[in-house]
Amino acid sequence: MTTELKDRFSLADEVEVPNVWAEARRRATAPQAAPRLLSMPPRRARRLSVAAVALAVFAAAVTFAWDLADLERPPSPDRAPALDLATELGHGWTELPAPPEVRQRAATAWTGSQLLVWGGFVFDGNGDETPTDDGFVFDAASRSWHAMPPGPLSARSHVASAWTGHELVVWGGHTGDCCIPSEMFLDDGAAFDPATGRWRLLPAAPIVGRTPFSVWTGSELIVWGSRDRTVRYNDGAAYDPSTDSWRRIADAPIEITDGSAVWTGDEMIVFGAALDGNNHADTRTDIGAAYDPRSDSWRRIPDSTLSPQAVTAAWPGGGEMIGWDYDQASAAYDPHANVWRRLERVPNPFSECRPESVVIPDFVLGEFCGRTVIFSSAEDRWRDISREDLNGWVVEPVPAGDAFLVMAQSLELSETAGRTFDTKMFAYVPPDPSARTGVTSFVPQTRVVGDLVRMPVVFPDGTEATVVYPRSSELASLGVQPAVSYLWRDDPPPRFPIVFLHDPTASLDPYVEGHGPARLINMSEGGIEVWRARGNDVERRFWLRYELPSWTVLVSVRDALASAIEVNASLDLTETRSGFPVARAIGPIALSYESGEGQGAMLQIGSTLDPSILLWLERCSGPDEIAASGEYGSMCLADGLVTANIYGKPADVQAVVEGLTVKGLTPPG
Amino acid sequence: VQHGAVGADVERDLEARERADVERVERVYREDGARLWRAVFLAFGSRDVADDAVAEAFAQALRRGRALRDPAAWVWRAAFRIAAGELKSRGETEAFDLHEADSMREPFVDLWRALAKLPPKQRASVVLADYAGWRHREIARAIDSSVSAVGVHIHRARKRLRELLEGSDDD
Repeated sequence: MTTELKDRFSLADEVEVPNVWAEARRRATAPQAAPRLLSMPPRRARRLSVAAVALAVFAAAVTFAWDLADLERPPSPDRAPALDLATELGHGWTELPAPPEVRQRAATAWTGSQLLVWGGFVFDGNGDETPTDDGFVFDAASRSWHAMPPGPLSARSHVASAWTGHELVVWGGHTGDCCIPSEMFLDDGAAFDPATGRWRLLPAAPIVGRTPFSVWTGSELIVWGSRDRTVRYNDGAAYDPSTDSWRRIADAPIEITDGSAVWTGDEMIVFGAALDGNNHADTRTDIGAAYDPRSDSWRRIPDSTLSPQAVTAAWPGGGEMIGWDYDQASAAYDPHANVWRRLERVPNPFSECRPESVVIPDFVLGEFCGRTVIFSSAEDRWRDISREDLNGWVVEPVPAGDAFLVMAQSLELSETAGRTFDTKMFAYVPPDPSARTGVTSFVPQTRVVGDLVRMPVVFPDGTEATVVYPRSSELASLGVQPAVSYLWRDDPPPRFPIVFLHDPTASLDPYVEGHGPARLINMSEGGIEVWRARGNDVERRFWLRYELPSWTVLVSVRDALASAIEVNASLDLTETRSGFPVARAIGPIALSYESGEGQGAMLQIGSTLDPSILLWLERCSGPDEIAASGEYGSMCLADGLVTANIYGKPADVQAVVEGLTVKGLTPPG
Repeated sequence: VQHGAVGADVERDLEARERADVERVERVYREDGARLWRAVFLAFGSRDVADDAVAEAFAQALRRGRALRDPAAWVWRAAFRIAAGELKSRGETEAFDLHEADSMREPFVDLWRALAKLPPKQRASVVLADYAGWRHREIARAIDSSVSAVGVHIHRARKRLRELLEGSDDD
């Protein structure tokens, strides 16, 4: 029958197709602000007008945040849609258009679709670090660089900066002068809105000018201390763009001049050492302290074993700060347990450079003397990803969503005045997005009987069964993942995606991608947590988070707190003795089952990568089917009560189809 | 990029590279453009949507040039996502124009009418699988779904199409 369907589909080849190549060429070369109007001959009047459709598509491309649908964006006062560089480019390195200059110690920000670079200085090979007062924008959709509109701030480097979701906020910095602090450091700031192309000045800060450590908390830019060894500060301030105001923060119990500041979601950790102009450190190891903005208070963190000479740290999520030093020693700090643990050494050769870190969710990219290394939280290890063609280049990495952008400039020394340097830019996408959570696979107990393996399972609606398969298939080792596509309410029918994670303390962060870390906003007596993704109010998302003995269960309730309360009152979650999660819904809420495209209660053996077997409770009939590609099979099991889809190499699919059975299906209760 | 004056050799080299980029995308259009247009038409049910999504996908591919590793795969994904984005912006899930059937021949018109009755993701999945010959993983990327869900979509779509087509055959 599948063949018959394909035969019918092949009749579509008779449908007349217009030539749209000329239109594509026209659009490709047209000014981007031009509306996308088709110049096709008009068709029958009953259709929507061509222009209206074109404009609708244009509007969709502007407003809808699908990674590919939104790649092209005409300049517009509207907010630019997010662009998923990682998905578009694929894993590994990809060369992109080179920047006009590579700025060091500049303010940088990834807006979701653009890289903003402002201020900083250009390495000239002769030690001149004259700062700049202008910037550049890389538009990822059009793969082009253009100048940033002029701003009100004087030239500077080493600023504090943050992307708030709407604006690049810049404060403080170094004038490049020497050696009187009042002439070296700046105490003003401004914010640039790329949607309008306009700058605005910040109000005066309550602290003196400096080159501070800084973090963005999701609501405040906290600036603290000084990175310059000529002065020592332990005071700081926080700027809130929503009120356009500053507040002083409590003084810290330590001073450092070298190191990093990271935001954990709860605290700002400042970590490093205080050094003098001769590279002598005050302390034998690196030191640190954590600031809690809710209580406006600090706490010391345990001293690390890392070198105080030069160190860097970053927070990739996963509950630990990852630090490494110029000796290539590495360690992780867990703020909840308040302990450090050693990590394997960073795979860099010894050299005299200052290590630097930038971070995206679950990955830290380290830069050292032009070499690049990456730390994966999921793998808990470093690996060298250096490009040999950048050996000896100045390298400036910045985070860009789930990718890193790496700007690089050649480093040959020259006595020629005004000489120029080659520049390049690459994107690096970490290799395995599926490894971005620490969630482990759930491997249930099995029993071997002769050449067969019996694996008792419980579907997430409580239905029990035993999956039987040939011993040679070793399916259990692939892990079992329960799934219920939705909870839903019939009228009106909102659907609430539900996710089972085999980790009772799994982070919510990977599931609110694009909106920054989630923030706990409420906790009820029932033990649930309601989280809101960080971001502007339009983008808010509420989630219910439940903890079972070995599972975290997440339910997305969109933007309605009322739905959260309703779902929570209707949902009963338990874990069986064999370790399977069971969800029961009562009242107006039900598990999705035979509802449109819903998939009901199901179990997936294996990951979404090959091989994978999907079992779900749906009545079926008819002969087994193997798709022509051989990489897919569909089966009817348990006397027509369980449907199975199998994916994998053709031989694996065939083996599973021939050997898989489901027995003893017992409905809940 | 060297700053300063760009020599004539460099300019010629750039022009040659741009020509090569255009030719690479044009080759994809010649070889795959018609099939892509028909697939979008089958999946979304509207000539206007297909015209615009396919033209826009190729326009964006031209702008990206050599930054695209696999322009054919990229253009297919882009066209489907642009078309889906357009429907979403309209607040609609589909744009099937049933009057299109007036100009279609039997028995294709039965398939087209049956496709109109499928949910959007089932329809896109089965079109990409059974018309375009895509693998499940590729379909999942194009319609923003998981591999497993695509398998379910295709299974259900085929089942429903068979029921509908058998019904129409009986007629």
